[in-house]
Amino acid sequence: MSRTALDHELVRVYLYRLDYAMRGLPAARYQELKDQIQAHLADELPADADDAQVAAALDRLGTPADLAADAKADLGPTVRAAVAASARRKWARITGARLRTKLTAAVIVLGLITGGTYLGILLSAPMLVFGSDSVPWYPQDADHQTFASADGAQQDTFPIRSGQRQGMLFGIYNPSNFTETVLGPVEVYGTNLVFGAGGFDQTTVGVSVPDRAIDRGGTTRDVAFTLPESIPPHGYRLLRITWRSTMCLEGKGSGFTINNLYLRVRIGWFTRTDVIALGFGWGLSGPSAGVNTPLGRQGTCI
Amino acid sequence: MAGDSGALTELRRGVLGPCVLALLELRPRFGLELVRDLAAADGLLTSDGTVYPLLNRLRDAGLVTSEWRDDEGERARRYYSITEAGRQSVKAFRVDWAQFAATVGAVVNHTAPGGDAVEAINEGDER
Repeated sequence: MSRTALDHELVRVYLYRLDYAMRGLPAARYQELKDQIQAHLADELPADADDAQVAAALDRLGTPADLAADAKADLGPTVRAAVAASARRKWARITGARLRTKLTAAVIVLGLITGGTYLGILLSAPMLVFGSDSVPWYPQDADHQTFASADGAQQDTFPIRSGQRQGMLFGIYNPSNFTETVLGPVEVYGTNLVFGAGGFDQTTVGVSVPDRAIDRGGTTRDVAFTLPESIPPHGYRLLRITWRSTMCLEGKGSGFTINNLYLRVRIGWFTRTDVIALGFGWGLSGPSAGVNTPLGRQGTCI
Repeated sequence: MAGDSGALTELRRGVLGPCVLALLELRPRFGLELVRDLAAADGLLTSDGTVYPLLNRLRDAGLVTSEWRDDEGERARRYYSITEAGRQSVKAFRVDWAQFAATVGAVVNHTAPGGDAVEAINEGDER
């Protein structure tokens, strides 16, 4: 594109000042006058005009403020008042927009701070804890439960029934100030790891509705267990886990100890993994009715 | 401009429109052409830019029209032409101006009826 007098720096500054001076004029009138001034300068100045020539032409043209004043005077008092009102409205819009922008930014920052704080509080909320009581879910297991010592530690134990469904009932407590919703067991690549280890399948997890004390007499049979289920702040619930053991325990005195439960829990909008430490733990004791491990294809230990 | 005053500026502003119409009465002109012709009549223009708001005002009043012309070898220019209403306006102004100029001339030269009163005022100012 060839250079014209309108590309001269002094002309560009002049036109910029003219833009500013003519703010508030009706758009069509403003554009028309600007076109006329540009045409005037393009006619008057050669493309290679030097600074002195340009300055002289601009001086003859008059100041942008005077030009704009002439243009506004042409509009008559009513239109001038409307133009002034329009300029005031525009300024109000600009200042209003600035205020809105600042308010929006403040709200966003406040939201981020609040959200971050809220997230921090949520994620630092205490995890669900073991309510210091547990009992086998099925009577045949409860009947054979023993309090035993193993590896220097004490724990509740009952015999493994490999290939058969067994279950445990745990009392759990929400120590936080937020409602915590149990979503289910932790799963890794589709494998249920509620006990943090393999050797189990067909695992089910449910939370009681509502809270019930663990009753070793079996009256908790009429309690409904569901998922997901919310535990209110500082509330108690029963957690029932049933499973089928897919392992076999060989030899008298062999055992498998469970120390933690791993659950997916939602707090607010966020989901996390709660590790529920069982204290002294509990265990499945061997031997299974067989010697092979893992479980045979027929679902029994051979 | 030597001897320029607010009154002269206002007077110039008032007569510029009819002067533009009178120039356009001879033939259509584009913006810079008008400016140069007016500038040639010494004292009529305080600044070149004054002409353009004036042209727009005359156009709004229906006294001039404009059209773009793209003459061969020339850049496109907007040419201004006088309308019939503009011609009538210039015609009326010539009569009014002649009368007005005579009146003003008579007053300021103390040749108008009531010139004594004017003289008295002037003398009072001198005292």
